[in-house]
Amino acid sequence: MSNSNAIEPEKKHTTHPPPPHSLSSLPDDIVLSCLARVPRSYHLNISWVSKNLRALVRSPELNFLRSTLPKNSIHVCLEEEEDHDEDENHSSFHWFTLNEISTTAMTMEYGLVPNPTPFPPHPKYGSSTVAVGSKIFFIGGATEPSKDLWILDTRSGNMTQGPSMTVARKQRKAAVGVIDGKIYVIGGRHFSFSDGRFHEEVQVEVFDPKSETWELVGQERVHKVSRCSASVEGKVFMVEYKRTSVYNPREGKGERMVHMDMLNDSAFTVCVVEDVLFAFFNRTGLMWFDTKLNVWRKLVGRDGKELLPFVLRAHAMVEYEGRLVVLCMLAEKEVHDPVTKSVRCMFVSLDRAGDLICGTIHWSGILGTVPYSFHFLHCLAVSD
Amino acid sequence: MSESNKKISLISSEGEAFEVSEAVAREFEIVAHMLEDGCSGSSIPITTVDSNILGKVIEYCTKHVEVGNVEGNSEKAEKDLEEFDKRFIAVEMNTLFSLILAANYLNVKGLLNIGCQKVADTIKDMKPEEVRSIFNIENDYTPAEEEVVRKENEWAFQP
Repeated sequence: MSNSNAIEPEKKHTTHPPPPHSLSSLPDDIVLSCLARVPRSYHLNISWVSKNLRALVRSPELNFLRSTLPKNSIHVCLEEEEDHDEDENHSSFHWFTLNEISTTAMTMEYGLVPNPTPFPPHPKYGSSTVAVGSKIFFIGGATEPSKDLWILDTRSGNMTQGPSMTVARKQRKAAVGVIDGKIYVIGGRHFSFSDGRFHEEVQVEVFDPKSETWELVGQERVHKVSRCSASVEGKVFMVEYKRTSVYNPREGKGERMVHMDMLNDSAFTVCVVEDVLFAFFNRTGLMWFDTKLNVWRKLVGRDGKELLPFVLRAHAMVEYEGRLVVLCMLAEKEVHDPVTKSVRCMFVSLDRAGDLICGTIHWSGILGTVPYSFHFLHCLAVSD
Repeated sequence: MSESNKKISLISSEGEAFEVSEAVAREFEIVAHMLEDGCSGSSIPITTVDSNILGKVIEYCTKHVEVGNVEGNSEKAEKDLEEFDKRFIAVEMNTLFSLILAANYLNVKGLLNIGCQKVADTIKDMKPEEVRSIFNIENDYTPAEEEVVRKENEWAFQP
């Protein structure tokens, strides 16, 4: 060590074979911080590897580590149609958060509570929405095409107008997805009818929330893009009647959009849990998209059989801490002419093994009661 | 600001010396603490890390210090660094475990993060038997216990 120069190695690089390393040779706290980064749905599968790993997966330490990861809260927007006027839309919007309410020390209940930071009334709440970080973005128009972008900061409750898009779009037509923190907006224009199909070719626009700028990224032929869209594996998925389309921004021009013929069914709502796309179809019910084989699959139960009567209704879905949250509203049956609806909720735990996903109900119950004129508009997981 | 040009020697377990700038050495939090505690020596022994791994950790820290010093165009720099990290951590399991252990000992948080993430990404999509063979883990379930697990989770163990 007389010379601080690195040029004269006293020994050549290791001549002895490397020690037989194994995951078990790492200290438990390192294994735990590895496990904390594994999505929850893989934990059960990992617990089958060894008893030691099972003990770590089930340990309170892992739960604690996971609880220190960035958290999301669920924001629910309900729309109340006050007037059924054909020409004008008179809607009011009501924002809630889905909160844990501990009833006793042992049991956990959930409920919808009004936002701690009230959101201001705004006509653009009916537009296409997407959440990035702690902000919710309202893109385009609700009932009329618009180039507007409005940004709601859920922490402060401030709604501010962002820069406008180039193309005017409207809700239920535009697909939105978030890839690498940027918002992709696809379609959302009036259709033209040709070749026996509704077609449109329209610019895809990308919004970068950091620089607050829009960018046009090329024309894409969009068939009938519904508002059922979400992004998984760095691609935007659009779930439509009989068709699932995928937009991959990393592909070359003309190859970014792929249309796949799918179930003879239409999706009502979609959501992403731990990078897996789930959709609730009108007839088939709850399915997840297997991106390896490009097929929609059903969840299975503990016995390996398909879960048929599992989730009967879903009006909105969202991810919460690695679980799938399914929400629906039901009229109170005992009343002849119902004036209220109950908001029902189900937390579904998901376990993956091989190419199967097993669903089990973690919690189900009623979150609250709302007037009959209310319905779900948005359900968004937003960073705290 | 002459300190930024100061060189420090890190000595591997084999006694090999690696000369690095103080900024790079400070990426090792353990070294940063030593320097703050007034350890003024120009060579610091890292007795638990061999030359091969120490060289890699230095490569990682050097790149991160370099990128941290570049002004402007932060988005491109961030992307570059992400790409670098991805390539850097794409190593065989033994090396990965050694890097994680070294990063833990030297307290290089960024490297520990990407190391743990790599293990997490590798482990998640595998069958239990694949996890055992890749991570060199012994199956300590008895046949009877394994039978119970199979019974409880028929869905996952279908032929």
